[in-house]
Amino acid sequence: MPSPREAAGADRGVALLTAGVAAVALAYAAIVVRGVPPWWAPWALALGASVASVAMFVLGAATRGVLTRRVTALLVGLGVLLLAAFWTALALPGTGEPLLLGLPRRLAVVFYAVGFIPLLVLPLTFARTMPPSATGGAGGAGGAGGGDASGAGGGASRGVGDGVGGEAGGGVGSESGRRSGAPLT
Amino acid sequence: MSALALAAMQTAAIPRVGGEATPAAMLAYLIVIAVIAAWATRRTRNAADFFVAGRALGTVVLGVSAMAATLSGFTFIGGPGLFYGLGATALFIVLPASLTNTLGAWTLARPLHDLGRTHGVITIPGAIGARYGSRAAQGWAAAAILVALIGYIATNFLALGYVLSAVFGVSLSAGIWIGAAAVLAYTVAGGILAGVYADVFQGAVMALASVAACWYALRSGGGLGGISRTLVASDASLLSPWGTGGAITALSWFFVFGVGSLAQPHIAHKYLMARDVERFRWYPMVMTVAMTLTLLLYLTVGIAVKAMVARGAMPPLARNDDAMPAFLVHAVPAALAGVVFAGVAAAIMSTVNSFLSVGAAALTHDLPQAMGRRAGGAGSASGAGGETLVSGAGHASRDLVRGRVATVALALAAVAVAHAPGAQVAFLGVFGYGLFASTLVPALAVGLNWPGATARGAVASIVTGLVVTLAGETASYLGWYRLPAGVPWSGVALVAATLVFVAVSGAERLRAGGTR
Repeated sequence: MPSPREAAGADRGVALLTAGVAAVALAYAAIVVRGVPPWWAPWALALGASVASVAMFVLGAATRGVLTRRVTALLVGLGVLLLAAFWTALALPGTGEPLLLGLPRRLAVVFYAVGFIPLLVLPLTFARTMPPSATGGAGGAGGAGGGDASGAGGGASRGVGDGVGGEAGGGVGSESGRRSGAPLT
Repeated sequence: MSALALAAMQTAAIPRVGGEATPAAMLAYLIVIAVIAAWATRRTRNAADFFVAGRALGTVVLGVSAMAATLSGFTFIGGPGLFYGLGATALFIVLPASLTNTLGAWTLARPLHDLGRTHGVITIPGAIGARYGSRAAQGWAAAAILVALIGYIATNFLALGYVLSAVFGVSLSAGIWIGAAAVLAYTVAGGILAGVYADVFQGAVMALASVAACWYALRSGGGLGGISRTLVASDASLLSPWGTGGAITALSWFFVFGVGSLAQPHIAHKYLMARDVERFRWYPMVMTVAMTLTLLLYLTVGIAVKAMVARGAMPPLARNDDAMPAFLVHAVPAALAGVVFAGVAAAIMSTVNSFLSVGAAALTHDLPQAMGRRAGGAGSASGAGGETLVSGAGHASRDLVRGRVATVALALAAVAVAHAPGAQVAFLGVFGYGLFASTLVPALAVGLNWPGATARGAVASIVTGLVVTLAGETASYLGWYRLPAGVPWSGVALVAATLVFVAVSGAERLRAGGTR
């Protein structure tokens, strides 16, 4: 079973995802009802798309057990970066724009902030926060481990028994099985 | 046609360019693929090799293969065309890659890898079935994947037909058949094992072609600053932050191509193939580097051609999709044109191979299992990992044959669809990305990470995604109803499916007496 902290983190991630998707839904509904976008629709879309993206990171971090204060701060920073870039592009005037790093200013803000900074930061963060694996480096043994631990350990306690996966008959006692976000029902 | 659909396809003829060098480069490329296929075929001994590459892939192969499968021929032809026509709007299809290269590994890699090891899962619908203990969820997911990928494969075969027609001067139909035969040859023989190692070579060709084309594109316009100044002077809206498509379309694409990337089964499938979880540590970095290099062409060629046209260095194009061929004629040496065309073929073939593998697995494994029949592969007998596919079930060779037959059947169906009128093929391809996103993001990406998700929520969300996407895109195609202001049906379907998933799961939890 996921720890209470991990489950709470996942619940927060889903709440955040729901909020983000709801913002997108609100924007879409207003556009469909009116036939033209109200002034606030792009702002709501930017908010919803940014929050939904970050929410998926929160969900994943909770499952991986790495939703620490540092990672939380990084994800908050990511959300602020995305939102600030989109909202800045919406807010700045479009006439007489100077070039910034080869692009008109508003496009440069979006391109470099959304498309470039996360590109540098996220892969490194993932590598650094990935816990050392109990099965790492023992690739062939990984599969065997699944078999010889049949019926024991965390995987089994998650009770997939009745359905498709039930044929598999159980989980593993390894860290790998304990951390798995699946089967949880 | 929905602009989103353009992301998946190339459904118009490509002019012949490049002289003798182009067929020579293409032939050399095909010969290397044949050698890789022969090598991989000897190593494909069972269904585990065929469907999940023996669960033995390392970081670089995983990362480059995922990149090659992600980017289809659209990256090389349709993408520059979209940039040429819509300016910065086209950026929002690839802009989320800064997040999604890591997001996939962040949310899916570990749970899927663990399901593969502990439950013998070899497919994405299988993972959904195992997650919820629900045959219905597995069956619906498999059905959604099959509906989406037939059109998707058909559009890619059509694109390959156009490429081969442009390179060798054969008819479109012959191009489709030749292209399909080439992909089938190594997919049927070596399955995904041949596919991933071919992907590494194909990814290298794509990256090489992209970097070289980007260099020539920037040189042709006096650097990025020079191109920007030219375009701002001629039509500033092209390089406004949202391009000529507007903010609603651009931000919707960011949403759908960002969150929706988590539901692309041919990419998620790769997580089942890793040797061990440690292989994922640097996977996002490898994929990011490979993806960035390969997207350079997408990002620069379209605007470079637009700037050349604005300066009068090139006549205006008849169609947006002529941007890349026109660029090859006017701005690069003939030999590079050959490499770029090989890159286009590589991008298409790597994507098709992955889809055929996913589809064959859905046909031979997921649908039978959802209907209560024994299916080859996952977790029969002891419930261990891929090794049970060989020793536990004792059906290894039969499963392998079934996989190969299903691959051929899917390919033939897609070839038949690819021969339909272009607009109909494009219409079928429309479903692809959006359908994957709306049907699989909630059940797969959210469900694998949220203990509160339920089987009913998963089924409800998959059905919602299917119905909204199919009904909406059909209404749009037939002209009955189009969403205003650039709102895509795929975005609406993704929103609806996600909200239904959370609502149904939440309601069930409440009924069950609170959180578990």
